[in-house]
Amino acid sequence: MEGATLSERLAYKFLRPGAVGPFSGHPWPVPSATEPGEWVRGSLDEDVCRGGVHACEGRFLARWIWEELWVIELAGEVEAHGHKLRAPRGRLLRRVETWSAPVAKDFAEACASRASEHAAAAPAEVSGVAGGMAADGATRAEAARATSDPYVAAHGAAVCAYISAMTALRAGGRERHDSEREWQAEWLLRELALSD
Amino acid sequence: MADMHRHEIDEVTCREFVELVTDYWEGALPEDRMELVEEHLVMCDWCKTYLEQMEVTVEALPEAGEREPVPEETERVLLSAFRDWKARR
Repeated sequence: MEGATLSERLAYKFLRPGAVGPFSGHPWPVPSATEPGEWVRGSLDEDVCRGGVHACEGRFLARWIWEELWVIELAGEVEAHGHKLRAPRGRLLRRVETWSAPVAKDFAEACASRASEHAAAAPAEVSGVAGGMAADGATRAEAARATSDPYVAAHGAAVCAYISAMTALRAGGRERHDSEREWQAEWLLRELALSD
Repeated sequence: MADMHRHEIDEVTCREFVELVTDYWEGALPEDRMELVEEHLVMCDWCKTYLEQMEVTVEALPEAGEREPVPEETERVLLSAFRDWKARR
C-alpha cells in the first residue's frame, strides 16, 4: 500500500469541533443539506494542508481520533503513506454522526479492558511494565467516562487505544500489537456502522 | 515510553518530538516523520502543550521589540555549549 496511487476515493478525516483541521487549524467548508463541502486544495507553499489534503482509511481510524469524524472525498493522485492518505484536494461529504463522546468513552473502556488482557498474558519479565500500562489505561478510561468535555473523551479514546496497542506489543511483540490495532479498527467500523 | 520493544514500532517519543518540533513547525520534516509526529500529537497532551507554547512564543517575538545584542563572549560560550551537546548525543 505504501506509495500506492489511486484515482479517486472516499476516506475518513477526524477534525476538531467546527470541522477545524487539528494540525493546520484550517476550517473545512462543511456540506449543506444537499451539497458536499467546497473542495480544499493542499499546497506545499501554504500553511493550509501542507503537502496535500490528508485523510485515513478505516483500518487506521484509531490512530487519528479527535472530536469529529467526517467522510471525505479525495481527488487527484491519492497516495498512501504509512497510516495516512494524501491527495491534492478533498471535500467533506458528511459527518459521521455515530462518532460521539459517549462512543469515544465506550471505545476507551474497551481498549482499557483489552490492555488488561494483554498485561495478564505478558511474559513474567515484562508483566510489571505491562500491568502498569494497563492500570494507566484503566485510569484514563475512567477519566474519559467521567468527563463532560468532548475533547477529554476523544483524547481518552486515542490514549487508551495507544496504551492497549503498546501493552500488546510488550505482551506478544509486533504480531500481537498489529492484531490489537486490527481489533480496534474492527470495533470502530462496527460500532460506527462504517465500511473500511 | 522508551523500552525494549520501542524499536519494533516506528514512533516518535516525547524526547524526539522536542528535537523535531522546530522542523515540524516550519513544515521542514519529510513526510514519514511528519506523520509520526502528528500521530504522537494525537495522544500526547504534553507535546501538544509544548507545541502550543512554542507557537505563542514565536507569535509574540515580533512584539518584543528590537533584539538586544549578545556579547561576543556569551555567544562564544553558548555556541560551544551547543556544539558539545550535539557531539555528546
